[in-house]
Amino acid sequence: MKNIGIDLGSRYVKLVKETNGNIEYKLFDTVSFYKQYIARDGANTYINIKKLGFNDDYKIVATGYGRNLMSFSNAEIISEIKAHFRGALRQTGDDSFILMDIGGQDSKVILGKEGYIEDFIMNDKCAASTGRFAENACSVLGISIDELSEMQHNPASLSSTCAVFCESELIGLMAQGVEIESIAAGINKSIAKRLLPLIKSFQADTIYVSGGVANNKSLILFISQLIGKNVMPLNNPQFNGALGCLPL
Amino acid sequence: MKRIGFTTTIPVEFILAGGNIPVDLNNIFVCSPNPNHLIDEAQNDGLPRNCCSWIKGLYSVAVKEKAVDEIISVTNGDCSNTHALTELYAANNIKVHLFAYPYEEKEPYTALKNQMLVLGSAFNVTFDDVYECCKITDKVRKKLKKIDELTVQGYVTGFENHLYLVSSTDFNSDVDKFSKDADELIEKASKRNIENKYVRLGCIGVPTINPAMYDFIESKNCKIVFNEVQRQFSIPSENPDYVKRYLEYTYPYSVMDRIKDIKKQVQERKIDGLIHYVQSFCYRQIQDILIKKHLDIPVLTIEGDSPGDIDGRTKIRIDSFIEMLEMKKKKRSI
Repeated sequence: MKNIGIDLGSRYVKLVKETNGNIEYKLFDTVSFYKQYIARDGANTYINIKKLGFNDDYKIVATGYGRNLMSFSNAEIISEIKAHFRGALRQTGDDSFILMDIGGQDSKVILGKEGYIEDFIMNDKCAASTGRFAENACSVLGISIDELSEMQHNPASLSSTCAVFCESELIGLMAQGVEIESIAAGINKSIAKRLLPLIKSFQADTIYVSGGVANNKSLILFISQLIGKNVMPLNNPQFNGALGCLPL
Repeated sequence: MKRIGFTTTIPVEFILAGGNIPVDLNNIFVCSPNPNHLIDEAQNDGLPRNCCSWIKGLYSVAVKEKAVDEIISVTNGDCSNTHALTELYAANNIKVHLFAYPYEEKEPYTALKNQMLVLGSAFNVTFDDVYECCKITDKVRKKLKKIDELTVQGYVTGFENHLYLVSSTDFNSDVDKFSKDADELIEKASKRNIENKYVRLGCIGVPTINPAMYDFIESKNCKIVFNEVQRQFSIPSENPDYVKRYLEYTYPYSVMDRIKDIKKQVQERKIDGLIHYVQSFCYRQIQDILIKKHLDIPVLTIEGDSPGDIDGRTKIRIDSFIEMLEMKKKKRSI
């Protein structure tokens, strides 16, 4: 069995290759991936598997933002909701749970019951609960995403409702001498607060988190505190969508 | 013969019986060659960016395009932005008549009848004139019911259903032509082959500002068999008492009345899932909470802002929703 699963995200392209049960993980910058590995042959657009270093005999299933815009002659396309749900089924072995995926550009919560998608909800048109917001905030504060993940003490209160305006609020807090750790903890808490209404839409005891943002330990802590339940990041949170493209 | 504009559905027979031309300002706005330009014009005059596009369109068609001679502003039963819009109309020397659907009045029937009497005196129309006019419009409304039935059966598309029901608020300003167009659609649609679609969807909420969503949805294995508010706009009640028809019309009243109507239609039309369209910055977005709470069928909420195609994000949601409904239906049928 030779399969490739690809999750074409807004920030990163996640690729998993499964050969006889062994899985290999690859991460690409989205823009570089499109430039290097998406090719055209007449009217057909395809993923240049040979250039990626693989043989032609892999079955490719892809998902990602802009499913309706994507059409590759050598890949089957499935929806992000389906891919993330299947990824969680595969990674956890559970069949009933809430999965929260925090992506680069959107957040979604999926309710799974007995192996089927029962319902799902996505964030409204706002970037303030996404990975992109965390990235921008880090660049304003001059810290890395890994450093942000550690910051949870004495969270500063952030009042701005908008990811763009929030940047000037961060600068204002720095100008007032508020400690970077406190501001960063405030960012983590504000993302958690924005995600709360999405998670509260559904009832289930088991809550998993996927997406690159799931690696942010402090954010996971704030979400757990706010909903009063244990929230568990998946093992390979960033690759969950790509794993969901592989056969179960 | 004056062109009488209105901000949302009103008892249109009061305009027709007076020999005037009804003009639903919403339809004029959204069907204009460049509706986004009308929004820009309103914003250039100072209407806020975070104000519903319909209000901005309604402002520009009347103030900038001068599409009508007088306006009936609905001050109860629709959004309170209409109050400020009414003030802007008046400031631009447009003659405005007010019309208020009853809201928690002790005697809603009397309150609504009084509102109609005020409208009647403004246009020199009596209830007898209105009932006489209904002899013509009731026949057209029956055709709209036929179109709706054909939609449920699969002959008429979700978009055609939307278009005819939503246009019935002013009968496209020409009752005779509208009636003939409806006949043509019924005849044409009845001869079509029914395409077997697996998922049956309903659309609830205010009419979308992005009607392109209909073709997108129906390009999937899916049929739209219900347009909630558009159907209400066509005044489906056949009550012999004209006032009661507009009390049975659900749109201007409590969301709980709308939910009752939706539940009934979901059952009768065998609907698998609902798409709740909400307009950016509209107060009705809040009612989504109650809609989701009280309806025990999957509801996908989508939001639109400006006219044009639906964005990629909304397409992903709709796609995933239909996919989920397909999976659920297959599971149930095992």
